[in-house]
Order: sequence, then C-alpha cells, then structure tokens
Amino acid sequence: MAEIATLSVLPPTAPEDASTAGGGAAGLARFVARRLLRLVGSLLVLVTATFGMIHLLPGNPVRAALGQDATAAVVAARTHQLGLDRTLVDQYFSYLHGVVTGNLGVSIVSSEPVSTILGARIPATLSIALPAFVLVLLVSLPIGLSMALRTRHGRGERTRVAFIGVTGLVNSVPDFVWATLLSAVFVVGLKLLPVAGDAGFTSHILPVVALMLGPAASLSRIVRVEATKVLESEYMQAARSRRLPWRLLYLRHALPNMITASLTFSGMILSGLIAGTVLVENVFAWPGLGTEISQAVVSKDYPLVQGILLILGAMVLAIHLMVDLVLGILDPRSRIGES
Amino acid sequence: MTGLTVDHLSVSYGGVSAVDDVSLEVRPGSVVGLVGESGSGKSTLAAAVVGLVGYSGRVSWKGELLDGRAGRGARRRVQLVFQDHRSSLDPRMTVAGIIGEALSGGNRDERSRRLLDLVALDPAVLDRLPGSLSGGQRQRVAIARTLAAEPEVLIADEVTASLDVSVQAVVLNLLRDIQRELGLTVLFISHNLAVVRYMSDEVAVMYHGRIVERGAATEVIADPQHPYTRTLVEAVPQLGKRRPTEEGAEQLLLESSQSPAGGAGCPFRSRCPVGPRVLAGRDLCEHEDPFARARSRRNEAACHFAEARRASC
Amino acid sequence: MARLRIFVRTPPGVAALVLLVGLLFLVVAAPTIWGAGAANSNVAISNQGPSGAHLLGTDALGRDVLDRVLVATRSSLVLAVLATAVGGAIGVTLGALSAVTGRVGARVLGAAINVLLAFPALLLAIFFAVIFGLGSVASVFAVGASFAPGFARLTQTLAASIAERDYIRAARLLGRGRFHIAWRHMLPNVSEPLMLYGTIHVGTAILTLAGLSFLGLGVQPPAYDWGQLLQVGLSQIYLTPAQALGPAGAIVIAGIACNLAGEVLADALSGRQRVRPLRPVPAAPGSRSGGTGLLEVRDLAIELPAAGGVVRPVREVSFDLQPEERLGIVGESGSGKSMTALAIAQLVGDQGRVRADRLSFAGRDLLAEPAKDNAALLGRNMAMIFQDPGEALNPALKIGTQLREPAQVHLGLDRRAAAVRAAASLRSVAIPDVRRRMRQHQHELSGGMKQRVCIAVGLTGEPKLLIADEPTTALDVSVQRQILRLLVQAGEREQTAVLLISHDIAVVSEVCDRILVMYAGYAVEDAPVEALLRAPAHPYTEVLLAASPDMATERGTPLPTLEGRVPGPEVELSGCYFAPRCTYADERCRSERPPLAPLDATRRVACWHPCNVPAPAATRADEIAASR
Repeated sequence: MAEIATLSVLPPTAPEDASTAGGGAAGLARFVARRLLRLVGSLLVLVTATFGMIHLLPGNPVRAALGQDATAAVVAARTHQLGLDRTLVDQYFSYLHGVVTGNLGVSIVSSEPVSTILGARIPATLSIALPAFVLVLLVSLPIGLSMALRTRHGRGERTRVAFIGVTGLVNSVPDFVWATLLSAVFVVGLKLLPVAGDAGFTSHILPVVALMLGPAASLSRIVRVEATKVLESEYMQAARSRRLPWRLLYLRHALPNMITASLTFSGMILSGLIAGTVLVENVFAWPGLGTEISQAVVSKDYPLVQGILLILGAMVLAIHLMVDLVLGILDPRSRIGES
Repeated sequence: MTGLTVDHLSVSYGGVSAVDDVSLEVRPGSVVGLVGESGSGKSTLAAAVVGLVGYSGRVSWKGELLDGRAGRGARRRVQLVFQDHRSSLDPRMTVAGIIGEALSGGNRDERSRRLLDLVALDPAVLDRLPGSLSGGQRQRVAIARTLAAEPEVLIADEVTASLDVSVQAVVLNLLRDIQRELGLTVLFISHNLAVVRYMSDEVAVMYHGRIVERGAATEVIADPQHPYTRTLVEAVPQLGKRRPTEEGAEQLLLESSQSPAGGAGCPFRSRCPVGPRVLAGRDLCEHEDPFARARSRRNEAACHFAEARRASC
Repeated sequence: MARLRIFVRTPPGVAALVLLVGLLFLVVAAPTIWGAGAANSNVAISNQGPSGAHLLGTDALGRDVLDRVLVATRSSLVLAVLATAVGGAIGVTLGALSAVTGRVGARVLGAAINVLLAFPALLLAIFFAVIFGLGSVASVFAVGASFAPGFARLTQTLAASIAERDYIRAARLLGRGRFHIAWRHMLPNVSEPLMLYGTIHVGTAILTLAGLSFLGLGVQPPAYDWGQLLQVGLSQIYLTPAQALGPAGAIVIAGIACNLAGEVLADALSGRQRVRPLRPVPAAPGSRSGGTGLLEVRDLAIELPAAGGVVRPVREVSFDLQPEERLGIVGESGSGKSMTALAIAQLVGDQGRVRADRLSFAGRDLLAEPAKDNAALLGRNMAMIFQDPGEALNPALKIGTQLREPAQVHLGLDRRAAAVRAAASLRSVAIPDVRRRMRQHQHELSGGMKQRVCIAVGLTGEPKLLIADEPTTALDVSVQRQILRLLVQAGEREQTAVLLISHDIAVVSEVCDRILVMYAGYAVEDAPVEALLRAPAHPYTEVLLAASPDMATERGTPLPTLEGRVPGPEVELSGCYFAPRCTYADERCRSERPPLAPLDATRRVACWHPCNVPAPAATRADEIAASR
C-alpha cells in the first residue's frame, strides 16, 4: 500500500495511492470469488476422500456387505452392478459425474438409490441442526458480551468464576450424554415430552437443546474472551479518552469488533453441531442422517455411508463458508488473509 | 589487504527486492556503520552477509568466499549480534549452556567466565535463565556468546534499539572496547544516525535496498551529498535545537514505507526535495538511474546532482 | 515443576487432582475388585432397578451395572490415552515433516491439514472407523487419525514460530547442525505446549471414543466401555433408567475431571495470575487550594493491584502546566511517565487507585468529583495521542466517523457541521484528498498518516491540553520530525498546551518549553529546557543528557553509564530511589528521601546534593574530600 505524495510545496498528485487491501465492492467480489474457489478445492478433497474410502477397505467390500453366505455369483453380479470391476480412474470420473448429477449409487442393503434415502433423511436432520445453529448464536453472543462487560478490568471476580464454572461444566458433558440425561428427566421422569422419534414440534425440543448446550457454552466463553480483548484494546482506551457516551463507546466502537472477533473463532464450534446431530439423533431415534449412517456403517452399506458422509461434510463446509462470508462483509480486514 | 567484501549482493523475497545490488567494503579492524529507516533492507543485508538468507552476489572475508561451500571454520569467523535480546537467547537454556554451546574445545567453564568478565557480567549469572536477566544483561550475554565463536568480523544489527538510553550507553561502550581490544572488524547497523556516527569510521546510507551514499563518517554527516542523507541528518533530534515550525522547501512529507518510484529513473525522485518534482530542468532523474554511474565512483552519492550541488556551493 | 503446585493450592486444582486420582485408582484396581460382579450373569434378576444389592440395578443378563461401569473405566481411559498417543504421533510427524520438506511440500501439507481441520473430529473418526473396521483397536486408530490434523497444525505453527527466533539463527551461525538445533532448541521449546494440548485431548478422546462406541462403531461386545454400556442402557431407559444413567454419569465425571485438569494446567503453564482489584478511594476535595495553572498536579501517586499485593508505578509527582505551555515528561521505562499521563486523563481504570493532594484541570478538581461528572470537560478540552497509531484507531470504523465524533458529542454540532469541522482538522494535519480519506479505514493508511489522523481527532474538539504519549516512538525519524512539527503547530494555532511524554530527552528538548524528569515513579527535576540542558541539577538528569550520543558527541570518549537498574514498582526504599545507582550518594541519601524542592525561581529538584549549582556543589566537594 503506497501513500500519496504530500509535499506541501507540491500539488498532491502521483504516485496514486493503491489502497486496495480489499476495500470497496470490487474487493468484496474478489474476496467472494477467492473464497468460493477454496470451497471448490475443499469439496474436491471431500469427494475424493469418500471415493477413496471404499478402495482403502481391506478385502472385497461387496463380500463384506453381503456376508459369507452370499454365493460368488451374487457377489460378482453386485460388484459389476456397483461398477467396482472397472478401472480406478474410470470409477473416479463416473463417481465425480454422479456426485455432480445427484446420482450417488444404490444402497447395497436395500437396493434403493442413495439419493432417495438422503432426500428422505436430510430434512429431519436440518430440522434440528438449523434451530440449534441459530440458538447457539442467539444465546452465546448476548451471554458472552454481557459477561465481558461485567468482568471487564478485573471487576466481578465472582461472576467470572461462576461463569467459567457453569460453562466448563456444561461443556464437559458431551451432547449424547446431555440427550440421555434430558430424556431421563423430561421424558421418563416428568413425562412432559414425547417419546423418541419425530412426532411434531415438541419432539424437536430435546434434540435441539441437547445439541446446542455444549457449543453454546464454549462459544459464549470465546465471545467473552474476545470481547474482553476488545474492551482492553488501545483503541477503546483512545475512545474512552474522548469521553464518548456509553452508547457510542459500546455499541459503535466495541460491538462490531467484538462480533467479528467472536465469529472468527465460531466456525469450528458451529460446524461441530453437524457431528453432534449424528449422536443426538441416535439417542432420540430421530429419522435423520445420523441414525442412518450408524446403521449403514454397521451393515457395511458402503455406498450409503459414502453418500451420507458427503452430505455431512458438505454441510460442514457450508457453515465455514457462511461464517467467512459474513465476516468478509462485516470486517474488510478479514478479506486480506484469504489470498 | 581486503577485509569484508560485499560484491553486487541482492536479496529478493517473492519477487520483491529487499537488497538491490549492494557493494560494500569493510577494512580489517575498522567499523563501518550502516544506517537506514525501517524497510531499507539493512537487516536483510546483515542476514545475507552471515548466510542466514539466500542471496546472489559474493561475500568474502580476506579474499575467502563465504558462501555455502565455505567451511564451518570460515563461516564462524563472521558472527551476528541480534537486535532483540528477548528472542536471541533460548529461554530454556542457562547462560552457561548458551555460552558453552558457542565454545569449541575444552575448559568451557573457565572460558565462559573469562567471556562474562569481558562483557562486565558477574559469573553468578551462569546458572540463570535469560528470563531472569535485565535487557542490558541479556544483550551482554548475547555479545559474550558471539565472542565465544572467536569471530574476526562482528555484525551488530540494531543491538541497542530495544534498550533504554543508560543501558544503551553500557552496550555501546562495551562494543567499542571489545572492538579495539580484539581488533574486530565491525559492520554496525542502526536506524539511529547519531549512534552510527559515534561508533563508526565510515558510514553507508541505505534507501530501499540500495546504498545511496557512503564515505568517512565525519564527512558524510558534516556534508551529506545525497538529498536522502541530508533529510536523515536533519531529522536527528538534537538537544535543545529549536526548529522553525513552518515547513521548509526541503521537508519531505513522505515515508520510507512508501515504495520507491518505478521506471527507469532515480527511485528517490518522487520524494526528492531537489528533484524533478520541485526544480525545473531535472528531467534527467526521470530517465536515468544514478546508481549505474555511482557504482563506478567511490565514496560518492548515488545522485545526479550531488556533484552539481557541491560545485555550486 | 513449581508451577504445578497450583494443583494443591487452588480449589479447582484440588478437585481436578482428586477426580484424576480416583479415576486412576479405578483404572488400576476396578477389574480386580469388581470384575467378578461385572461378569457374573444371572438371568433370573435381569433388567432390575436399583436395589441394595445392585445400586444401579442389573442389565439384560442380570449383571451388576455399577460393577460394569466401574470396570469399564479401564478400557475407556486406556483406549483414550492410546488414541491420543496415536493422534499425537501421526500429527507431530506430519507437522515436523512440513518443517523439514521444502517450501512446496510444506504448502501442500499445510493445505491438506487445513482442509481436514475444517471437519469435526467425530466425522473424521466415523470415516476412519469405516476403513479400519469396528472394535477396540480400530477405534483407537480411527479416533487417533481424527486428532492428527490438530496436532499437525499445532506442531507446524510452533515450529514455524520458533524457527524464526534469533536463538535458532544464532545456533546456525555457530555452525550447529540441524539435528543439534532440533534437539537442543526446537524440542524443548515445542514440547510443553504440545504436552498440554495432548493432555487436554485425552478428555476429548474419552468423549469421542464413548460417542463412537455409543453409535455401535467402537468397542464391540463382549468387550465394553462406557459408550457401549450407554448404548445398551439407553434401550432400557423406560424400564430401568439407571442402566443408562450409570455410564452417562461416568462419562460426565471423566469429562469434568479432564476439563478441569486442562484448565488448571493451562493456567499454571501460562503463568497467569489473578489479582484482586483495589477498593476505589472515595472522591474527596483536594486539600490545597488551586493556583492559576491549566493543569495542577500535587503529590500524585498511583497504586495497581499485583500478584504479591500492591505496586506503585507512580510514587510522588507534582507539577503545574500553564495555558499554551509545552511540557515534556522524560524518563526511561519504569519511570511511571505513561501512568502519570493516564492519571491526568482519568484513564487509570477501576483496578488502580489514584491519589493526589490535588489534580485539577482548567480550575476543576478532578478527584473531587465522580469521574463521569468530568467527562464533558475532559472530552471537550483534553485530547490524548497514543504511541501506536495503528492500535489507537478503531479498525471497524471509518476515519470520518472517528473524526466527527468529538465535535458531535462535545461541541453539539450536527452531523454535517461536524463533518466540515473534521475535514478542516484533517487538512490542518496536512492530509490531502480529505473526502476520500474520511471514507477509509485505518488499515488503508500508512503509520505516519495514522498518527496524523490521531492528532486530527484530538483537534476536532476544542482542546486546551494535548497529551501525547510517545507519539513518534513507533515511527521512522523523518516521519517523527513531521509529527513533532504538527504537534507544535497545532499547539500554537489552537492555543493549546502540550504534554509530551518521551524516553528521548533530545526530542522533548526540541519541542518543549520545560522538562520534567521522572525516575522510579518520582518527579526528580523540573526546569526550563535551556537551564536543564546548561546545568542539570539532578545526577540522573546529568547522565540522561550525556548517555545517548548525539551529533556532537566526541567519538573517542566513552559514554557515561549507570550501574544497576531502575527499582521496580514493587520496591520500597526509605531513601532516595536513585541513591543505589548514584555516584554522589551518601548515608543521608540512603535513609532520607529528598523532596522535589525549588532550587531557584524556575527550577525544582529532588536531590540532597544537586550538581552544577554553586553552593551545594561546594558542599558536595567537601563531602567527597572528607570521604577520602
């Protein structure tokens, strides 16, 4: 970044300031383009990994899936049907083609197209993952920010200890154990909520809560730490030296920086929700991707496992993309590190 | 006899030139000061001379090339004292370990004590970790470690930049005494022209990877030829020197962080107070790089109008 | 390691230790003690609820659930430790590999690790479980492999940051080989954070393995761990909830133990120490009546909380500043000069305590009122400029917003009028193309430009006092010149007093009318610039003036130096704080502290034996003669 010539005896002309640094609409467009390019790269890795998985298995996957009772002829027929007898390169490109066109092969166990099974399961998973995603943000941002305010500059030591204690405790319990404890209390004990499965709105409550508790605790911790750093920064000290009123100091000067700093670290936690659905669905016998994948792995239904891992992986990448794009819009500086 | 000779040395990082065709000579037993602002390439030059970064060009000591093929013995003869005393000592090693690592041969304890004595430190610090020492003490340990390698050439890179003035004085006195006592050849690098002037016999001024002027310390500072050198000399804060608050014609409101002017002309021309943007009839600076001519002269400034100015005085 | 004493000193440390010891005991002894109960099946008492004989009831085969949970501690924990070790081994190897391979190799590995890191560990673990198969050994490798990217990234980051350290470069210059450097320097400095990361990850491994077993993808019957017990128990949750709650409780306890231990460990290794904030002193009217100065400071002292109690970075500072006067405060690090500036601007914050007999600005006693009552006055008439302009400007806000604010808030201008005023003050600091600059963010400006913007922000109010704390230290000399000139110009044009704080007495002497020298939290000398330069009265000032070479220093002569170092803010001395380093110090200096007392009409000094003054000089000479 160059600086304009400002010899006072001279007219301020060339060399023209090249203050690009991601500023302006053109900068944002470039950033989005670069970020999408990176997404394509990650997707390619993901597709290659799920493709490679079936070839890294020891032994014949079809034999493993059909069991020892199947005759050699049946195994050979299935192997041919799945295209596993073609060359690796050939298989790879037809797999790629299939992924792009939505043809993810056929389940070994049920002989149904994988895409059909996924189509039936994805809405159920999203119906608990999306509310949990939104709730995590809605809960942890205000909690983290208010905790940062209450514990700033060494104040509120007791509040800080209590906050650390509670979030630490919540965070130490994994989501599937939360799910177990919650259903023991609210379903078995108090009989307030419906038994397992998807039976309308009330049956969403426990899975969503079990899913969001841990991530909300760790994200609100991160928000507090990042917000505290902002409050202790020199530019906040400078703003205080200008005696700005409370409203400007916190809402205009502190808040945008706190949110961008917190978001920077939230991608990992929010994408962790996707893994959480797998476990939580199994506790509640939820008809989503999570219950499907554990059954598919146990029954060695590899095309189905491939398909589900692909979708879950794509969801993770989508969350990272979303966080990065929001950051890129809110904070022009975050675009610089992307190249 | 030739001393430390740097010949057409260039370093670039990812296509950006950090040091651009620098030639420099330090006579045996003399101190040459290298001065420049941040980003001028002076620290990169130091790192290249000791072989810490790759470069094109030649570096030799008493006629012997100091490149990758030079033996360990030859390389050890040129040592660097680092700028940041916080990062130049391994935080997990005692002072004894740090100095001992640099010594070769036996009787390390006895020789470590002698080295500490040379840098005026109590031998009691031998058992301590760098974290428990003050900045000045750490910098003296770093110098002792450097001396343990028994160098003939010492490169001091901003060794006092992170020290308070009273501690800076201790380190400067020490370096000067050691230089005389051991007859070391020293390349003394600093952004502080007053410190460089105090320490050096000769001075070289760097601007954006190039040496724009060099000569005897007293002469360069008393009568700088290059307009950039003149700006630097005038910018040095001096006790009790009140300055007019209105801006003179020679004030530069530009910063060294700005990239130099591109094209074929003088890279300094966009900042130059006596260049084509201020004075008419100096189109030469737009078209011809003064470095090409300067290289054939010695102790001269890389400026088309340095001689003209001298003639007009 | 002394730092680990935190495990027996603090309540969380003790709790973590107790839990860990308990778990360790179960790992070692549980299979021996409860192994029989866990294995004995008795179909007659299958799926019973809790009872005296079976505290958590029995499972489908009539085995005691509590016994099984206790026995499963071993497999759960041992597998977790193994999985962490596997992950650590793979990850550290990958990370180290990228440090050894060339630039291309490092970039490829880095990109691969980046992509893998995006995915949650459990998804990776499921992926690897598919490949490795089901069972204990396979799940150890699956979970291990899923942890590898994290370890690899940490190793890479640590190695890269340490490879840049000068001590590594120094060892290379000494001709030490790669192996020696890796062994003696890299490993010791990398291992501690890696060990910490690994320890914390044992907890994560317990939970991930439990999750995998719970899905039926980990430990397979007849072997069992907590996850597997939970899976079995969950199917009976409506009949006998205890069957599920038992293993769930075990996982919770293990999770808490590991989390707690990790936090205590991280605290211990970071050396962080919590300090108790000081109780604020109630606002009290000053004990002395005010004078005519714009700023009056009498016996200012600042206390800050510290690990060992209270420290005093500023001990006793008194001075006056007249309107339009330029005063420089000079001192080395630890002198308390920046804290003094913060106290004047009422920015010490609530954790510190500011005391003064009088601290008044524009006739108002600042300590007599609650801080918020002074806000309007200080906001309008006092402006502060900080050392690092890149840190002092808000990165999220446009330059224009930050420039307009003081005028809008304190001068009551509307947005448009404030923008006009902001533009004018930007122009006054020689920034061209004002309209474009107002729309930019700070990261689009260079260092000198940022500092000029900071000065402009200060000028948009109606400042009577500009406090500049080391405003040029972060800048190059040629830029320093411009910034100093701007400060002087602004002061003269706006009729503003300037308080310039710097470590560089030469800088201050060029700009200011008067200099206050500080040492160890004391004002030790206060004099007009000419007098101070001609005849410094305090021995410290004398050294300060001569210690830094200037363009006229005789090149052959050694510089005057001081032995020892500045007493820290925690040190308490009864005498003069400079006495331990002073060549003139005597018994009186060491026992009795000299006050900052007038030397003549314009000068004050805190010294029993001031230099360069006729009468005391003779006395000092006498003393020196006598001491020989």
